[in-house]
Amino acid sequence: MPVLLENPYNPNPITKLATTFLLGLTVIHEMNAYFEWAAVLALSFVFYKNEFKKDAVRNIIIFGLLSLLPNVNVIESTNIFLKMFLMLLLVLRIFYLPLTSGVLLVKTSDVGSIISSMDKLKLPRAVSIPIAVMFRFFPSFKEEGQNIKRAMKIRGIGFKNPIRYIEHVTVPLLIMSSNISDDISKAAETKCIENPNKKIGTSL
Amino acid sequence: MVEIKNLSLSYEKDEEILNNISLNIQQGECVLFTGKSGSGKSSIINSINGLSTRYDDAMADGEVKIADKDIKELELYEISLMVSSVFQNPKTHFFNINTTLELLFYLENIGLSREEMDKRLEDMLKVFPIKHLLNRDIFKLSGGEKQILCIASSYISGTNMIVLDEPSSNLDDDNIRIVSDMLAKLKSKGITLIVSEHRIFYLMDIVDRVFLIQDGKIKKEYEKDEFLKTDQKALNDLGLRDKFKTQLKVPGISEEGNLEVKSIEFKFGSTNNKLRIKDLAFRSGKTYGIIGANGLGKSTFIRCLIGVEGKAKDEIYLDGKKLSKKDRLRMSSLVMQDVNHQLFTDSVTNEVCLGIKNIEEGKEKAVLENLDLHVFKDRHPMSLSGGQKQRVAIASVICKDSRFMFFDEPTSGMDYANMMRISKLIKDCKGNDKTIFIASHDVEFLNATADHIVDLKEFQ
Repeated sequence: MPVLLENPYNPNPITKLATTFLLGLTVIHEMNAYFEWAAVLALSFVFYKNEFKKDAVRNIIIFGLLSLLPNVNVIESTNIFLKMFLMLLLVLRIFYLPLTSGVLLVKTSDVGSIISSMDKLKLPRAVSIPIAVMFRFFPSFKEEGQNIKRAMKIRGIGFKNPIRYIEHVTVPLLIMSSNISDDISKAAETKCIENPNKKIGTSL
Repeated sequence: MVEIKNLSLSYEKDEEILNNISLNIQQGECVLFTGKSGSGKSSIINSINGLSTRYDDAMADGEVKIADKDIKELELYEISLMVSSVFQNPKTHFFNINTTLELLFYLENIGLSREEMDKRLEDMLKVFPIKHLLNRDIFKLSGGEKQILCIASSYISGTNMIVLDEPSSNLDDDNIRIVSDMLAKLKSKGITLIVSEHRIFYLMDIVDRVFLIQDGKIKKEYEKDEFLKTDQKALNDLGLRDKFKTQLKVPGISEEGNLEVKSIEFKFGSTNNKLRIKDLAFRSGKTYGIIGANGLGKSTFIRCLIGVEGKAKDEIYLDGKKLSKKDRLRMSSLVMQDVNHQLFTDSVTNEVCLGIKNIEEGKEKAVLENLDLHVFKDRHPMSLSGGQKQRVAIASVICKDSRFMFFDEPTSGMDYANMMRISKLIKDCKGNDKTIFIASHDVEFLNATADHIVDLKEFQ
């Protein structure tokens, strides 16, 4: 995951957080299609300028497909399975903008700048440190998840029995998650993250 | 500098890890704690940096003083202002994702100005020329590069003392040499180094005193010269690896074999680096060691052979018949480097039988007994110790009775006795129709276990 220092197209985490919050309001208030497309294109532009070219393209395609969904009245008249499936997609469509904005925040922000921006907002350390640890958790989780998936393939664990499958994924994933969070907090604490001195952001 | 008085440490009520340890370490000294796995040497390190009581829920009695301050009364960040830590697995050392930000993270936290940070970074680059590691994604560094970055970040923090917990256990020979040079430079700067290790050859030029730890006690304290004179066999018996660098004595790969790898090609992520293997042949009944520096792709090579890397292009034949990825996947089993990834069920018995159709009656029982695991047969695999978990993974490989068995770094961080035990287990797996592959940088282990060596350096 490339993290670009001092990239003029990478807004600081406060801006990204505020954008996510504002786009979250679109969930409860319907927006017109031009505004939605403007938001999607703007997000894709920032993804693109931060070396996430695949995400930039994917964002436009997925939103394009979701826009083709029929409205609720049409979905109501279809059969039950199709209705369930389309409704699920519709929920995704409703949450799409804040979700994508959240992904952008996670992918393009480093922990240092998150902590220093939260310091600027005068958030207490008890809030800012867990949030920073959470951000750091995702990439490790992804890496470990891949290893578990490979191990399952080699052991011949497949989807044949879905309940068993879920059990087999969950056990190592939970253990790994607890190990990862321990490791991250250890790494953070031995680097004086709790030092009450003021932090100077390296990327703000 | 460090003063430990009557330190005892226990994790649960009856389980005593350290028993009445007392010692002093002077500023600028390099001190080595060595001994078998589980002897308590890492616990001493974790008592000095404060992690044992704060993270591992240990109960401590006695006193640990750093620069005349009792660490019991300090917050973890206050201890970290005096002591930097380097962990056994460099993967667990980092809080940031970008290397430069990681180097500066500590400085940010202690409130240095931008100018001061730049100055420290410049100074560090003069001591350790690692410019090529700056501004990179930490997840894409090799194990060796990560450990080098850990030590560099300990230096840049400017503390007078660095504690290192088995820093070489995931490293190949070249990287161990680099780490050894880095430690020598740190020592020449007057920084106190406190190391816990059982692979000791790379420290012999730097170390001043050696403490042999056994069952949580200081069994013996050696001055450097005295330690160098100690008999090697006696050290092996105490669980220590060789004092001097061991040379690889295993012959290269022979040209004929019934498993023919015509070609394997795998592109690493978004980089231009490729793993390219051509014209290799492996024979049934043999054990092959796969060597190569950290980051060359030993684990990737294994995964390609198994057929679990979907993106790899390959052409592999067994007895003249082409094998697809699916065929190989069915014929293979693997013990991973971190066995936590491959334990899925709720009991040891279920674990070893998982994914095996029509297992012979009583087979799993015999295998568990052979590996001293029968007493744990109903326990949850995740509740076992690290060594026991690894034996469960090995038991599942033995039960599956695959044609191709793979072991990825099975002895990293292991003392002499445990390493020899794993070597024996692998040798017992050998059979006429089986081919065993071991990716490892542990020369002593390969000398004891492998029949032939494949060096990935030759395919660069």
